[in-house]
Amino acid sequence: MRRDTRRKVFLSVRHALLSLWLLISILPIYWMVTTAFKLPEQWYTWPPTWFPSPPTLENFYVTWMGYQMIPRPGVVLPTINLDPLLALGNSVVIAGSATLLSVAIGLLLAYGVSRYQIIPEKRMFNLLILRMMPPIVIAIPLVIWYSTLRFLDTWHGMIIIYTITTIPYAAWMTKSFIDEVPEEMEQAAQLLGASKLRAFFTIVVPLIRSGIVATCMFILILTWSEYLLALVMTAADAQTMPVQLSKFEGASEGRLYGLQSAMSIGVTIPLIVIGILIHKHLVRGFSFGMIRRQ
Amino acid sequence: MVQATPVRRKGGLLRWGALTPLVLALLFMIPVLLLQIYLTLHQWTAYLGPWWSAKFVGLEVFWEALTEERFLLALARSFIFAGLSTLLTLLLGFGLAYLLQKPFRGRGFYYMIFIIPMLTVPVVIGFTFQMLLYQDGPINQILSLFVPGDIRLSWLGDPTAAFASMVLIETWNWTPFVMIILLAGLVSMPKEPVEAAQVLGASRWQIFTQVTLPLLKPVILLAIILRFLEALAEFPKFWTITQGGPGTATETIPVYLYLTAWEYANVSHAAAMSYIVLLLVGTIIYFAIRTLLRQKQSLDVMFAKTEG
Amino acid sequence: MGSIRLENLRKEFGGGVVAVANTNLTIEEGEFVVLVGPSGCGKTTTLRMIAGLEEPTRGDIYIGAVRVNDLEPGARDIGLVFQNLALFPHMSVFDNIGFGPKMKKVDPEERRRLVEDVARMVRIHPLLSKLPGQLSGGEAQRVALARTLITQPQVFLLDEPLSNLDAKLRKEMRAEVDRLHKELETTFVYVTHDQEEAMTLADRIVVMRDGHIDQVGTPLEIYHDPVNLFVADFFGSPPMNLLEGETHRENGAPSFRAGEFIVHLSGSVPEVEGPVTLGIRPEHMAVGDAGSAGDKDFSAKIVLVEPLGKDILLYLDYGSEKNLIAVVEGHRNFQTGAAVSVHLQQDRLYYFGADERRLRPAGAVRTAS
Repeated sequence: MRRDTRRKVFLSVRHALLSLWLLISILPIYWMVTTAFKLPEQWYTWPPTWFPSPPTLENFYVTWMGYQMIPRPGVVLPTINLDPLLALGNSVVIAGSATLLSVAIGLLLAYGVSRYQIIPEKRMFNLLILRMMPPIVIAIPLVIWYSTLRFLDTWHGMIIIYTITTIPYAAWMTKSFIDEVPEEMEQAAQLLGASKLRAFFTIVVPLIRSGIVATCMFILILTWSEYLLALVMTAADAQTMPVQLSKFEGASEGRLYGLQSAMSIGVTIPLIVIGILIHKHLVRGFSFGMIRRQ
Repeated sequence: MVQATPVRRKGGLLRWGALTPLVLALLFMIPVLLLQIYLTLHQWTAYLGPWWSAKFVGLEVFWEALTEERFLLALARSFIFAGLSTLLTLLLGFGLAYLLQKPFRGRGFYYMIFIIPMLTVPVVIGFTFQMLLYQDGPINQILSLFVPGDIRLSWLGDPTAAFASMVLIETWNWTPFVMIILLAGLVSMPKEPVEAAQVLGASRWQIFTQVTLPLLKPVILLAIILRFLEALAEFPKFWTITQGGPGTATETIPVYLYLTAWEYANVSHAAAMSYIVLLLVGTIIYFAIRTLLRQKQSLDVMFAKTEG
Repeated sequence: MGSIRLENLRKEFGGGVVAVANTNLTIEEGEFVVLVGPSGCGKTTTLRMIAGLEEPTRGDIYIGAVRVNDLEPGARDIGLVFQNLALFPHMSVFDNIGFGPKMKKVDPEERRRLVEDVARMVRIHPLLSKLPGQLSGGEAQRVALARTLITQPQVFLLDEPLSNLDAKLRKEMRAEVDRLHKELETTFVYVTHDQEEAMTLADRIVVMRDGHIDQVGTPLEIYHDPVNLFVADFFGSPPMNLLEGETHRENGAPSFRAGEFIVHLSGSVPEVEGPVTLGIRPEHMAVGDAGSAGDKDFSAKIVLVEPLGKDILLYLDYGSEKNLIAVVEGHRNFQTGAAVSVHLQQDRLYYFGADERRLRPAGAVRTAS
């Protein structure tokens, strides 16, 4: 085949395959979003309802604003009082604080390793052990330890454990940004009289500002979505959104798809937006220095 | 005037500042590990009293756990689940990365949409797929388009189908993860060796196997290791969709461990199993990190700048 | 076999950037042709089109009288040495060199023999088991050469292969390349931005600028008979002195004036009156003490003396903003600030019109003598 004919065929095939995966990626999200606007009659029809008609905001009122659901034949009402707004507040505080703490510590650590080899880079790899271990494995003793410390179901308890488990990511990600700043700049500043710390804050940090923001958002996504530890270590006071959402299922013996979806939207759409905002930097979160930047 | 302050080679204040939180974190976690061992060696059932009054039983619980059939089956399921989903995400992720490596109009758009599955909260994924896989749901409807008659598979009611569904859902969730890692690797690969191979007469397949793949090995290994370990630990989707069912068809280690500790309240048993898993996964992680380090070192040698 | 012909070759990139504009060129079999010019002139793009790594927007490429536009790079029977060498970093030197034969399914015994022969030819035999990351610049260079040599192509393409080397190494490798060409008698197409390299290596030089070919010729033709200001200025180290002014004719006696500065012209002078750039190479100027006997065209003052060993460069202020550079023998004695008299070799003067093209006196063809 001529070269340009082959190129054209390749282009159409590529387009087709990518579009196929696009649909596959989007379908579940689409379904979740549209179901949130469906009246209960349209939740489990055959054939399934692809577009709510008429669309309604009832599900949002019920889940987020505590309205009572209108009784309908064939639909079981939720039996537990949920408090999504409280859970939302908890998530914001816990995830937010853990993020800031984790990034601050990780940044300092990254700077130390990158510039001054306070511990060899190899040791930093060992931090990953912490991260790669399945949380379930330490969940039991952790809960007992926390119960002894009376940290269960508290903000500070959750913040501490979330910080500890995300420091490796924060450190590796910020390190990849710091490594891109040539050391000569800080050395020039130091020769002109700045202390190491001063050079760091006035030279390096502004240069990697967007990287730090990206790291924060990345860690935020991780801490916000975390489920297992939140499940076993929170009950009423510090319960986060993912746990609240899962309790919803347990509470209702039927399947309240519309309400579920309305809550899900609140839980997950912000993260999707954040993720898309930092999509250029996502990869740095888990390449741990293995991918060279050209 | 030159100030005669001593030069602190290793960073001094910075060192303390950066390492202290780390040390504190480690200190904080030590009791956890000690407790783990303690619980493994003692028989404790939660509602009978506080943990420090449990009876010492030595390795009895440990041995029981090691030989329990349900535990071993759960282990097997975890590994099969992790292996299959890692394989699938690797193939799909590589394919997508390969298609996206050259810039073209709309590439950024595809990329942004493709990462959505990996950004979605796992519990939400659980619920959403529950809806999709419902017998009268959209997936069955779409499948019915390709086959005469209606498909009414009970995806989550049939043991094999349920397991397969979990593997596929996991694949949907994490293919973008593998994709972005491999794409970054592909894009940062120097293109001249590929051109040199072209000029030397290599076919596209030969270029792929002789030049591209070897150069991508570190990245591929990274993706595989990260994905496999995370798949072993996967809990929210399992708990939300199947809770280990139907029966024990989708009961993986995290699910079984959770059940044992929090629903059956058999804490010691759960602790013992956790400990076994910790040792097992710890060994895997040890070798994984060693491999990654070795890859990184070979990368450094490969791309060392030659003197000009 | 081994000849190259480019017909109406054009390469446009997205955004309307024209890298190569309507180029025609014929290269004979066995020639060493150098494409030379400043960055962005299109020389590398042209080379890559010959190699098949870029597709021409328009035009045809013939290698050995075969139209190769539709042929993959691997099918064109060419060898290519990249600027950054492009060695396979994960393979040993042996595997790098043996890659070509491996692709052509040469059997391992034969392949080993070929690799060792070539390795000996470029003198890297002891390095066969090393990785590219462990080699020095010069060694890596040789491996890159060996990798292309082993396939015995009918055309060698080299894209600024020496520009990453330090000066001394560059001269050594240059001699190596020259030696290879003479030994193999194959066509070489060599791209560089270094005019000295072009002059040393080429049978013919192709001077390119902004996607166009300004001039094609032997090194001596390029040097002594440039077609325009750019070519004249590009070649020669130190570069040609260029003086802007006008030519006048008074009663049949031509002269060159720039403000107060006057030089009377003898020899063949183009039939032009008006703005002109006068060119004279540093080695065609005679400098003597002020007031010494001999021809004198004008006076000047020495602003800088640069001894180079064999020669001395004199920077002369003749009344204009720019200084002239003259080359004199190394044993002579000159002081900064001294006044000197300068005599120009009249048959070595170059005249360039306002459009920068060379103005030739009627009937005269400049030769090397």
